[in-house]
Amino acid sequence: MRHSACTVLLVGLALAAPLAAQSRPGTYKEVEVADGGSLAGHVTFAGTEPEAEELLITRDFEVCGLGYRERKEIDVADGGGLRDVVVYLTGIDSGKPWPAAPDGYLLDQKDCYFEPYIQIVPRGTELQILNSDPILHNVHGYELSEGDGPRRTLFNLGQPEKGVVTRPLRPRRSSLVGLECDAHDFMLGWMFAADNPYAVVVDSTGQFTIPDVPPGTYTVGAWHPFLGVQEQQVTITAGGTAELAFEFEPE
Amino acid sequence: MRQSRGFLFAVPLVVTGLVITGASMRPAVSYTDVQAIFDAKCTSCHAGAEAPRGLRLDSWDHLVAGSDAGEAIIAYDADNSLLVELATKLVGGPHPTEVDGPALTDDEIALLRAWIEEGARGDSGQVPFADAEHLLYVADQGEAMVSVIDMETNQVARNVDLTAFGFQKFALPHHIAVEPDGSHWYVSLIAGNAVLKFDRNNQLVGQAPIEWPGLLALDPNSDRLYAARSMASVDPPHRLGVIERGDMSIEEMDVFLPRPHALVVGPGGEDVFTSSLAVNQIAVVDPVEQTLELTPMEGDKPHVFIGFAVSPDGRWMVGTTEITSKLFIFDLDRVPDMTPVGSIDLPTAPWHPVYTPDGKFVYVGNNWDNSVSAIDMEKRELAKVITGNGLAQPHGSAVSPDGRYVYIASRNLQMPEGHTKATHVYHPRYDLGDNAHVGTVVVIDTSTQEIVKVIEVEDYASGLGTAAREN
Repeated sequence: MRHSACTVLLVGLALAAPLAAQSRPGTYKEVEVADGGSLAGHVTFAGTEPEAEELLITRDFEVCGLGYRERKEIDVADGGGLRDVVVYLTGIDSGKPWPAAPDGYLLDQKDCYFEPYIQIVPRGTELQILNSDPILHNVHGYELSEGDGPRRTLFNLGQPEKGVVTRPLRPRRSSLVGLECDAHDFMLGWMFAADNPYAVVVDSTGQFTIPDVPPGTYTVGAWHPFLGVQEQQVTITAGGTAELAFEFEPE
Repeated sequence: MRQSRGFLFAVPLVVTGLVITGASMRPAVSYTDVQAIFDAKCTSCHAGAEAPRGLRLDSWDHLVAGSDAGEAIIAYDADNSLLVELATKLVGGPHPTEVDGPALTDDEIALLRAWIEEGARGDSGQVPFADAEHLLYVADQGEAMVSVIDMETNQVARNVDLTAFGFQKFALPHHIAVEPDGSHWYVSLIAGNAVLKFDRNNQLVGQAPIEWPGLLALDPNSDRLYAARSMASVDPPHRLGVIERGDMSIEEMDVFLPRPHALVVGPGGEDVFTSSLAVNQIAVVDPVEQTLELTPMEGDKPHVFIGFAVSPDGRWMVGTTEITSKLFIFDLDRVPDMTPVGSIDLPTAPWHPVYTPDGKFVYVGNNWDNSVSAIDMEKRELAKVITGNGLAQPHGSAVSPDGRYVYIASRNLQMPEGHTKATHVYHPRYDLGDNAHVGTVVVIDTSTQEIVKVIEVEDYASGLGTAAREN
């Protein structure tokens, strides 16, 4: 089953919010999954990749660069694979352990880019926010709103010098987080506050694999920051691999 | 190549690149020839009181008066004259063919262009806006151009193409200061590393070298022009440029703070105020005694002061901050103590503030909010947040001498979908294929605090300049 893609971000988020509001923070239980199955698939874009945006760099030339920065809001691989999509399972209260993150979760601001551009972070994590640049960055994280309501600020942090600070990532209603730098309007990034470890960012070809899923029937979401959210139902069997395809359409 | 021409010269100078070649008294194309084209192709519609868009082409006076929306031609700049653009570039068919009118021939367009490039003169040789009294200068940062607006009609009267004087397309003109009598104007070139001096005829008459210049502040009490540093550079010299306007000689004065940006001259020219983009400090500079006082500002992160303005009576100074979105109020009777005596929260990222001539209001464009704050300085409260078409990343500000109009420049740069700033962009009145991100100057009537006009200028309108107020 294919759901139509949302073409406007905020509309997409409005639809996405109820889907992304999963089990309450902290309720997920790590257990051994001896008979798990896998979910694998491909996220594709049904149209031609739009032309890249050209954003003028307006300050801090020596660090941020000079002239225009090319930005692909919709980044399509050869073969039609869509990049920058988070695929996630909802309604799963127990399962495999969270992946090891011995160094924690890091959001870097380097050369006036957010690195990584999109990442998954467990909800409630003390996020390490690093400024690698010798200039002021002011990372502004927004919980993207449900419906037409306003976005809610999660953190608004000025970092005038290189260094790292930590802030909790605790969106209340949604898993979808937008990142802007209040000092550099050409910087943009995204995070997904996960309630369970069954969430992945697709690879550079749009492929994804989610292993060790307890058998059962789940709703699977796929979120692209500019194309919105789709969802499908999937049944995972012990030792089996369920195939799933998402196709996003152009605006 | 675009050319830049004067307001007052009876004898036009032909500028080709850097070579001023001179020209004949008599233009090659007379207005009579132009009017003949209009009569043949245009005036069946564009005549009389019912002319579409209010644009009448039945006389030179009517043509120069423009349409309801703005100017139809810009003397000496055929490329950016709407009449030529509509006849050659309008998406959907050159005007008037899209409304089943007769197309202008190539010869007719060439004649029209030549006439505009020679100054769009009337039959007696008069040039549009040659006697304009009050001029508003707009730094079009994306085009290495300065647009000159007649403040009586709120139309673009001239475009000054800096590349015609040998500067790079990426020279980044940023801010403008104007002599109190309007005789000369100055523009900072961020990447051109210079402050240029032009006369009222828009001829380059001098320049001062300075690395990464940003805001300018002219002292009407002396010959000095001050230049702070652009936010384009992460670590420009920690010094202000002090330019003698007469000969454009320049010295630099250390202000002992990084990234000096906000800049204003205090009453009587005795003090100059600047602040840092990087740290919470305000510097009070005595340019004669060469002394400096630094006052730290409280704050758990950099406020990032963008602009300062001094009240007409010289008592107060306001400063706007990008990151903390405030208007700080300073009592200049307490100088050198620059501890603020008040602050007002504003919509996100207030940029260049300007006082009305009566000192009762400050207006400032909110760069990340696509709005303008009208701040009541007697009550010290935000009276109104003005929104509307034409406000897209507002930047510079200015006010008409009589206080009737406030002008706010907008960058209108491309923003990614979903970005805070992308909630409003300005869509130009006509789709010319290459003009999606024209800059604007919004005109606000201060009696109603409503937008009454959107003037389209060239790309990335940033700083504005009008004749400096005597103080």
